[in-house]
Formats: sequence, C-alpha cells, structure tokens
Amino acid sequence: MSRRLIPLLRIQMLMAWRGFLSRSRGGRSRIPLGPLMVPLLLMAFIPLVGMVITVCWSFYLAADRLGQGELLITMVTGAAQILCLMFGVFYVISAFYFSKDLKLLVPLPVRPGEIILVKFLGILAGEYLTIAPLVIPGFLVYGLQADVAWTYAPFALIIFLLLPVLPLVVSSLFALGLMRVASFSRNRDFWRVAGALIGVVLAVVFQFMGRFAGDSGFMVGADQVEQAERLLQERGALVEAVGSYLPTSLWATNALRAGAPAWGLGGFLQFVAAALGSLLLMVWAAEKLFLGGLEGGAAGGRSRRLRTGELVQQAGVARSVLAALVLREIRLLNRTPAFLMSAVLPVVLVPLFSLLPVIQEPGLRDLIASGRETAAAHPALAAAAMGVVGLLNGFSSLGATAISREGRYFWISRSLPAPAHLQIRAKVIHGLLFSLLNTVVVLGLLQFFGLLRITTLLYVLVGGILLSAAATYVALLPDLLRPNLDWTDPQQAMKGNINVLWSMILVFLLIGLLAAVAVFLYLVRAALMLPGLVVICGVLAVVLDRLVGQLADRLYLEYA
Amino acid sequence: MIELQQVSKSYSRGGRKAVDNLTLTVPPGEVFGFLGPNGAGKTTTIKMMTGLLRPDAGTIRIDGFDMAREPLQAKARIGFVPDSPDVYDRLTGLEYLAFIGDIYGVPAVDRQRRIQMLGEQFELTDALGDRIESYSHGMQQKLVLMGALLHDPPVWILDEPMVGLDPKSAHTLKELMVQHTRRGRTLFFSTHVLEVAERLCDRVAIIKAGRIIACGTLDELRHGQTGESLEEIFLELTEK
Repeated sequence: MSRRLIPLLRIQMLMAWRGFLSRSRGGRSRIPLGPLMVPLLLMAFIPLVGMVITVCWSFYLAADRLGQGELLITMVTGAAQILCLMFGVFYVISAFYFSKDLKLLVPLPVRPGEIILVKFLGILAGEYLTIAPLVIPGFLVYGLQADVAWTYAPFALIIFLLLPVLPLVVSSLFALGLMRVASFSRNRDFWRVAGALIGVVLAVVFQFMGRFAGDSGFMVGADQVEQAERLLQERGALVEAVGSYLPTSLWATNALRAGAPAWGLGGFLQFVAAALGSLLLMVWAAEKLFLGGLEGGAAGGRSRRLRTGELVQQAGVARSVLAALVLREIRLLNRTPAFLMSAVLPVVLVPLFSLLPVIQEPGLRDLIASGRETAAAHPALAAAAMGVVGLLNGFSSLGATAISREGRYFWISRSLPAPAHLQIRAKVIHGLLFSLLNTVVVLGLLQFFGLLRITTLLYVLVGGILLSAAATYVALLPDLLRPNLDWTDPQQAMKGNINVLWSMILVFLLIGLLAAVAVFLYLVRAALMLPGLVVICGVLAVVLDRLVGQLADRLYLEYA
Repeated sequence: MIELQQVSKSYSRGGRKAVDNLTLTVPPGEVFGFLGPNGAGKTTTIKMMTGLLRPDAGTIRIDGFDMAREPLQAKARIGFVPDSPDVYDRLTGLEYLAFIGDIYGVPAVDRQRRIQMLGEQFELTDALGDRIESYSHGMQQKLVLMGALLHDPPVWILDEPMVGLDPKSAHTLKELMVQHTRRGRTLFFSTHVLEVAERLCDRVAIIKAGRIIACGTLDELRHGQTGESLEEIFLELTEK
C-alpha cells in the first residue's frame, strides 16, 4: 500500500458523506423533511432495537442458567457475519465494477488492489449500519450482565469494526473470480447476475448445511441424550458447536467472554489476524483479477452492426406512450446487473428459506402433512398468501427506488411530453411483472406443501396482483417525495437508499391494516373475507393510482 | 416562437440569483444565439425554458403554450439538447430513438425516414445497433441531437450543441439549423464558440450574472463598442 491510499480514501469518504447529507436533505424535493429525517429514522428503529434487546436479554438469561451466557456473543457475531456474507456479493460487485467513478479512479497512478481496498472500506462503512442494530444490543447486554474483564469494551469495539471484514472478503473473492470469468463471455451481464445469485444461494445453503453438519457431528452415531446433556452442561460446549463452522465467532466469543484466560487476548489476536490476513488476500487477488474483470465492464453489452432492413423494421414499430414507458423500465432494469440482482433476490431467497428447513427437518414435514386438509380449506391461507405476495412486491426495492434509479438520466423523463402520472403507472406495471414472479413462487410453494386449491389459486392471482399494485404505489411514495438521483454506485440507488426503509415501513403498515380488515370480515362472516379483501385491494389500487399520479404530476414540475 | 417575460430564478433559498428578471422574445425564422461566461445563467435559463426548472417568477411561452400551465403541449413542441449528453447507456441507439418516437407520437413511416436521414447525416447509422455505453462522447451528442430532431419540432433549444461533434457533423448541424429557420421555425442555442455565433446568428443575447447585458444583431451590438468582432464585443461587455 502506498501514500496514495489516504487521499483516495479521503475523497471516497467525502463523496459518500456528502452524498448521504444530500440524500438526507432531499435535495430534489421541496418537501422540507430534511430536519425531521434523523428523529423519524430513530423512531422507526426504536421498536426494532427494543425487540433485539429484549431477545438478547432473554437469550442471555436462559443461556446463563446453563453456565453458557457467552453463547449470546457467538450468536450475534455469527448472525451478523451471515447477513454480510449473504448480501455482500451484490454490494461488492456493484461497488467494484459498476461505480460511475471507476473511469476516474482507474487511470490514476494507483494499484488495482488500492482501488479495491478503498471501495471495500466504503462498503464496510455501510455494513456497520446493517449489523449495528443486531450486534450492539448483544454486546451491551452481555457487557452489562456478565462479569467481563477491563478489556471487554476496547475488544468489543474493535471486533465490531472488523466483524464484516471476513464475510465481505469471501464475497469479494467470489466477485473478483466471477467477474474475471464473466468477462470472457459474450453475454457478460447475464453471467454476472446469474453468478451473483448462485453465490447468494450457495451462502444460504452453506449455512443450512453447516448447521446440519454441526448437528450431525454431535447427535448422530452416539447416545443422543448423553450428547445433548453434554452440550447443555459442559461449559462452552454450545459455543464450540456453533463456532465449529464459524470460527471467527468462536474467536470473538473467546476474546470477550467473562473469565477468558489472559483477558481474552488469544481469541482477540486470532480474530484480528484472520480479518487483516483476509484483507491482504483480497488485495492480492485484486491485483491479479480486478482489471481483467473490469475490461468491457462499462461496455458490457452487445455491439454489432444492424443487419440490412433491421433499422427499418425496428424503427417502424410504433407503440403507445404507456407501452413505450413500460418497455423502457423493463430494458433498463434487465440490463443493469446491480438493479436486476436486487430485484430478483426475493424471488430466489423466499423459496430457498421456505424449502430448506422443511427438507432438513422431517418433523416439520410431518407437522405440515397432519394439518394439510384443514389448512388448505381455510380462507386464511389464501389471504395470507395474498399478503405474502403483496409484502414481497412492496419489500422488493423496485417500487421504492423507481425514480431514484433514473439517476442522471432523469432529465429525459422530465423533459418528455408524457404526463408524470403515466410514467408512474408504467413503473407500477413494471413492478407488477415481478409481482407475477412472486405470485408464481408463492403458488409453487403452496403446491409443494400440498396446500393449493383452485379457489386459493384464483384469489392469490387476482388479489395478490391488486394488493401488489396498491403496495407498489405505497412503496413509491417516499421515492416520489425525495428521489435519490445523485449516486455514483448503482447500489446507492438501491441498498443505500433510505427510501427503501421508509417504503418497507409503509407497506408493512398497509398489509397490517388489511390483515386487521380481513380478521374483521372473517368475524362478520367467514365467506365474506376473501371476496371482500379482493374488492378492497382493487379499490385501493385505483384510488392510489389517482392520488399518487396527481402527486407525481405536481412534483415532477417541482424537482430542482 | 419563444417568449420569456420577467423570468427570475434563485438558488440557495434565494441567496444566489441565477437569472434576474429576464425578458426575451425569439420570433420564428430567426437563429438566436445565447452567450455568456461560465455561470452566467445560460443553462439555468434553458432548463426553465424546457420545463426542467421552475422559475421563481415570470412566464415562459413556447409557441404560445405556457410552460407552467400547459407543460406537455409546450414540451411536445421542443427539440432539446442538454449541455451534457446523458442518455440511457443500457439501451441501443435505435431503442432510444424508438422510445423517443413512441413518446412524441411520431408515425412509423416518418420515424423510419427521419432515423435513416439523420443517421446518414450524422454518420451514426452503423452504430445504432450498439449499446449507448459503447459510444464516444461525440457519438452520444449525435444521438441526443437525432432524438431531439426526430419529431421535427418547431422549436429547437440547444445547449452547447457543437461540443464533442467532429467537424463534419458540426457542419451538418449548422446547415440543419439554417434550414430549420428558413422553414419559419424557431431556434435558440447557447454556445461559447463565438465564431459560430457570429456566422450563424441573426441576433444574439449576452447574459452576465443572470441579467441580459446586450441583445440584438451584430451591428446593434457594435454600437457604442470599440471592438469589431463578436469576440471583441463579448470581452468588452463581459469584463466591464
């Protein structure tokens, strides 16, 4: 590393900080939410943090009764690392290969490893916000409850700061390899998205397999009762069991646990060495692979001459304004790997998280089978499935970032003679296309569990789409009020966009409200619930189309 | 016809006046040049004319349509080229032009004819099947120009349209600009290339610190100045 790293890092951090401030102030909006943002955000987080503290406290008390209170440290550090690993591939690919500032950075006299390290540190800063609500309450609860050494606070701070390093390095190594291989392909963008999704699936499956392997190591082929007793009674046995497939969590626990030899210095040094060593490995890999993977990265698309008559043929297809706007949304999303990966992720993860536990736990399968007939016939099942489709659509960042994603191209939308409400409608229709995917996934899962009936299918199809439309309009609202158009890395428009959080809260409230309405309808008359819900969702979708459209017509004129 | 009546715009919550009480009329059939030093308010004025910025005060009419009250009708009559040619880099050139054709309602036959004609004039036909991300800056500028002219708009508003163009394309554009006004249509463009303005423009306006400090034909501008060329007059006026 050279002296050039510091100015490089300083300018990246300055840009990130100013971008954050600009987004917080809502520079493109006349809605004066800026000063209210911090208190509103804190208020939104209070229930979540409160819940995590309560869970940590209860967990600590239960584990401490078995003399294994330090398991709390193992669990929160493990969960945080899994979280970073699962989504890391997306952020890493986006920051390393699709940042708009790469064309300024690459020509500078700096080494590829230095560019990657600086980008990596930028991602790291973002990950602290992700893991903080989980890790800080866990560390606080343990620090206050256990009789910890004087080293606890400084070690905990450093461990928190280094916690995302190893999973992000694993993601980075995967991304560097993937992009290098994909750069050989003609259809690079496809392989980038497919490869990243495979990476996420592998990360999730690895967690389940790890758990399975951990279980089997202790429980199979031995006296199970005796082994279980050993796990519960022997001090540190549970920590070792969990830590066997996440050694960094084990080292973090050894560094922080009360009564650790030499105040936990051994575990601390192991943890720090692993984090720093992995960083060096990543820098080395970046030196070998980064520039090769970057080649053609910006110009990853097809490049060919038009065939004779092709120009005439393509230019001769006239579409309606709405169709043209929807087609633009589809093309721009499908061809921007960083956006597509985020949009497709729920479609991949939902079946994965639903199926893996069932595949691994025969007991769970039996439980579902025993209540199958009753559950399949109950109207609550279709209502719940509708809710899941709506939630998935609202929670995917598609609606929540629909305007932000336009970024520096937003001038085109604003200078077009196409009404803003029509542009918003096109964005919602585009979101509904993904909703169809979500619907297929939910219906597929119901079928897998033997719970699908024809009435359920119809209600989920119609009701799910209508609810998704309403949820997308609701999800769009924060982005309409305060679009985040000034981004350099596409992930800043998606993950780094605070509007995603707001839209999640709003969609959650909407679905919660509809759930309450469903219960009310059920109590009035069970047969009323599903048709009533579908009608309400339909009315909501139409009303929101009008209201959000009118708001867009006004706001599109006001953005500065 | 472009009419600006007492248009003002401030940034930083009124702390910095970018355009100050600007009144201007560009009649059809006239090549109108808009000149000024960096930061004088040219791009802000153009953004207000095209509906990208809302003025704090004053009215803007494009071919009789008020940009504040009838923005869609006004925008439909404009062909706009911004100062930086940012277009959807994930689309191909042809997809972008087809999108613009759809939005402006250009009939299929007219669209085919104009894309072919403009593609040949700007020598971009061969690249129209490529993604825009592979284009050079000049090629992107040509594509934005093609998009702006595709619907044959009666009013052209061009912000630094020559930047990045090769000499042949710049020459083509200048010819198109002259032909456009000969058809009795309106042309408003900003430029820093004073030779081009001197040769092409029927009238020019010079803006400084948000205010028009001179407006008229070259002969009218020469009145009271010692300089002969537009460059000399510009320097005299803007350095006062």
